[in-house]
Amino acid sequence: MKSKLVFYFADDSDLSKYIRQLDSSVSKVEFYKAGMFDTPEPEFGMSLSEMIKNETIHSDWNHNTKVLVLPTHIDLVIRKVPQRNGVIRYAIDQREHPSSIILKIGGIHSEGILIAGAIGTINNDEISINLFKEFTAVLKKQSKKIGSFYVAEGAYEKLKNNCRLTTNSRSPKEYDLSLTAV
Amino acid sequence: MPEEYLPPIGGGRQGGAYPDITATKDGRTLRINSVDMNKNGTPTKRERTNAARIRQQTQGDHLLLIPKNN
Repeated sequence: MKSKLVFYFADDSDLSKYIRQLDSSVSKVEFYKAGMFDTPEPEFGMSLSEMIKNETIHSDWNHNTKVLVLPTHIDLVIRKVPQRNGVIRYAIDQREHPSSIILKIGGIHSEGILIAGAIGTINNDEISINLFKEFTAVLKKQSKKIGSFYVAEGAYEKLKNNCRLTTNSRSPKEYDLSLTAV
Repeated sequence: MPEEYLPPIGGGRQGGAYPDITATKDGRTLRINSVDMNKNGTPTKRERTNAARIRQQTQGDHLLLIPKNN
């Protein structure tokens, strides 16, 4: 199964603008915090901006918040994941939701370091593909493509002002996005 | 989430890497890649070069190489 992925750099103002445009242009969806949890009570019922506003941006994008985007007419399925020690943990991810997409939230980690985000899906379901297209179309409209990344306006200004645009601040700087990337 | 993307030097489009699995727990990251092997049981030169590059780029994380066809 070929996955679909779009990578982006966006600062707080870019994300706010992106979310405003999403609100007015995409299908009716519900946002759920994705991941592995100790209890089967999902965080939902919030707007995307409410969901991400108190999130800390980690230095490594793999640790940043992921949001499952699901059409409102589809119920969330929480997958039980038994652990070796007998404990049950609860997964919210794309496995039980072929019609979903995932947003990985990026943003400012600390002064001078902007961490990448991503939008993706592992599914070829028509609804998932359409959601992916809707969410990425809005992002692409407000961004420049530099190398493999879509760089929104505020992030681009930061790149010009020597801010690090990276997926992991512990990576050597030569792997950061540069203005000359093609 | 689909597979992780590790951008190449300069963040361009050519030469990025996609580890097969990226797992995180308690702030740590483990990557797993399946690799082609030489007849003597070691990873091929290409796979060793890729692994060295991933390790250089993800210092402090763990990379596990698993032989393909095994």
